[in-house]
Amino acid sequence: MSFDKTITCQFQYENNVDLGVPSDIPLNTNIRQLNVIVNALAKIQQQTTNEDTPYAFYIDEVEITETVERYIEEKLKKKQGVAGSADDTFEKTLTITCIPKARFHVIPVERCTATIEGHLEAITVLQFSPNGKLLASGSGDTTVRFWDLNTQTPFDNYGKAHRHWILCLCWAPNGKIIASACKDGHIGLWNGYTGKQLGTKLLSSHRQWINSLCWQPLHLNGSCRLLASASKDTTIKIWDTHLYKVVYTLSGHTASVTCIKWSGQNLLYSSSQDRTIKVWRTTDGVLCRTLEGHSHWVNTLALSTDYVLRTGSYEPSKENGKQQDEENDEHQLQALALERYENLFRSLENDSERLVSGSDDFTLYLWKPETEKKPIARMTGHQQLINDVKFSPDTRLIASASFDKSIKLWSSRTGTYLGTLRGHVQAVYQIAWSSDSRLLCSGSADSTLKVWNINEKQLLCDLPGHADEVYAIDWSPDGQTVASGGKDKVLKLWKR
Amino acid sequence: MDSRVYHRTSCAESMEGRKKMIKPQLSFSLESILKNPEVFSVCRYRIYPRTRVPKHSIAKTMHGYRVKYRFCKAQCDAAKRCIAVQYRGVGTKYGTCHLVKDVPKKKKEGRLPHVLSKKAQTLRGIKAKLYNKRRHNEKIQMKKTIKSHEEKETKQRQEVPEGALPTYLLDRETETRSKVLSNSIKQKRKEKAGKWDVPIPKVKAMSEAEVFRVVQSGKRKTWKRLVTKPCFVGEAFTRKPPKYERFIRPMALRFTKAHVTHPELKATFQLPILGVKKNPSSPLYTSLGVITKGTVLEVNVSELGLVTQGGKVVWGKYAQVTNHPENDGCINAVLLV
Repeated sequence: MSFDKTITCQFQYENNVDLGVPSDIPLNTNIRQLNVIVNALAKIQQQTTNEDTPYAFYIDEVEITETVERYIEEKLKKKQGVAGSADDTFEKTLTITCIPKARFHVIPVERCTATIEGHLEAITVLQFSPNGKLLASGSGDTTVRFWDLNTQTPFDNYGKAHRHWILCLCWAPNGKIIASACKDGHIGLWNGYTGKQLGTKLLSSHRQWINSLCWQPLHLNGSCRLLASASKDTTIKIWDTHLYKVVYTLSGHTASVTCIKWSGQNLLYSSSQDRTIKVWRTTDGVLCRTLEGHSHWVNTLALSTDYVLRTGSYEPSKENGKQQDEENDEHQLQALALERYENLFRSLENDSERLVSGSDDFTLYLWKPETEKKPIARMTGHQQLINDVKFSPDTRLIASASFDKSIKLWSSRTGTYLGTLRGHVQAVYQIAWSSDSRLLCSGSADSTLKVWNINEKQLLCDLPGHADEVYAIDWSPDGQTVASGGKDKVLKLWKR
Repeated sequence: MDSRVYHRTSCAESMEGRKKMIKPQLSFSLESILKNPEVFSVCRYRIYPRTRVPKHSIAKTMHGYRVKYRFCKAQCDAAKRCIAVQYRGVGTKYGTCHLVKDVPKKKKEGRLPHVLSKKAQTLRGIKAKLYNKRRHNEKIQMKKTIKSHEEKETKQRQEVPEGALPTYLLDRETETRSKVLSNSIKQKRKEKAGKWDVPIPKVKAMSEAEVFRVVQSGKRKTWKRLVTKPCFVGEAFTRKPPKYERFIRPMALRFTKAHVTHPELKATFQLPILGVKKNPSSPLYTSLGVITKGTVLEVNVSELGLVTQGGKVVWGKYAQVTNHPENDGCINAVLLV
């Protein structure tokens, strides 16, 4: 139809930095060709990478799916509906925003490769280590078990120091130590490689159970010393794990603290059942700000830099036979982690981390906690309480899992609703993003896991097999395995 | 010397006239205890001898009996280290600290077990039976109390409660969730014994006279029958033309929903009926859809959110009616898991 029609386009990065000059592009350019153009422009401008990065293209938040032509057509159709508007589409310079996607593709998991028994009670938490090589799980039989992923068997040593159900697990960002918390309010530290306990005592100071654990990010301190714990007794304690002592006790909440996150800017965000989120300075334990807005318990928090903080210095795309952890010492690891964090921060964040909170009042709020007290956006639409929220690793999307059996996707910049993923028949408990942000895995009370394709917002793969509810899932940062555990006491590993 | 405190001389005094004097051997520690002014002044132990002796002196000992000193086992207020004397041999009594009150009572209590056992051994007849029964009960109670004391003393590992939950479910009342198939049922199916057991195996058969009522209408008076029991017709049900219909199922007696109880969760849900699978009285009733007690229905369970092991969603299950719907006006059924 329009072989010779062209349009003037200006390519831009997300932070409004121009890429190249405005140029005439034929209308029937498709995405691959656009990719080639943009990559060439990037190479000329920055002379950085040799590899081509795949890009996604957006015009005014609408993604270009096939060709620019299609977009124009649809826009014209809409305009024709509105009477009396002048057609100036071809006269203005079209701004196309290019968003780089992850260079590597994670292959979706399809089958259960191992069903490992070992726990005597329901598995409550699961976490992969930051480099994806080790897996730890905590259960109601008071033990923390470590699993070898190569042979898909448990380690011999397993953590036996706790006296009550294990409620939380958290790997230190250097991947060597893991902290576990139990329902009695005690925290235990374990060596991730051998499974032995570090020290002989449990850190005990909380009076009720611990809801959440969070380590200080690697780029702030390479030795992984400080650990924060949030408990039902309304306090948050910051522990020094080398000295086994409490450094600060942050009290201010009036009800159980449900979730804490340690941000890359050395602030601590805590959400609580008293409907507030508090921002604390970790250097001296002082309350900075209280974010109010929710009308019921705040269940979960997610930071936009979550993925980078969790994986520390491990970069999955550089994982090509490099032995990173053992060789580099603390400072090198810290420098690597800092580099990754800074990259993310400058290019995407516009110098401010974002926080999303999910609550029992069926809504989510998007905040910029360092700067503002008011939320940026309020995301409604769920019909039941929201149990889990996660930012995608490239920080573009937010996924929220709710007890109304659906998962909703939101844009992380503005909080606009993007789509719903339906398929589960009971409450969705936990979700996990793959490291390239293209796939999402969800575990639910109906005992199935489902893998969703985010580009098409559709179900990719159904993973049945558990006999009872799935309480915990995690996708390894290297994208190879998904681990899931639940009420049937069995750990399942899923691979391609 | 103060006669309240025992020492060698008073022993000697009481044993005047004995040929052989028994010299109790005091150990060093006891000597020093004797010198302890507290013991000296406070403790007034007393030995209960075979013969009467002055209060604060040691009784006579029989020739050849050894006298040994031991620490007082009584728990009185005197210094712990008071002295008692133990007799060995016939009629031994522990020497007890005088400060312990009710000594005669204590003596009697001490004798009590022997008395009771003698009684138990000598009783005969019905009295013996009753007595033995009573003693048996007492023995059981005593055992229980001993066990509970033992439990209190031993340091036990705290029992960890079952039903571990992740943090996000802790403060919430967990909704009743139904599993797909319980293990016992699977076991039964495997063994093929009682494979298709239903909760109500036998039901009184309904005769046709009970279920139908003859209705005569129209010109030709060809008789029709009216169903008098609740029934289920499908959604797409349309009556046949009046000339050809034989059975009338009145709208008032048509039900679409049943109250179905899950036997393990003990929770009841109102679920739509999909169809009548079998009426135990007659296949005619099954084809008509008549619902009486014992009828097996198929109900729509998608509300429960059950999933099979293979990942498929279960949306229909059988349930058996447990009440008389014609009397109650509602259909109560139990789910056949």
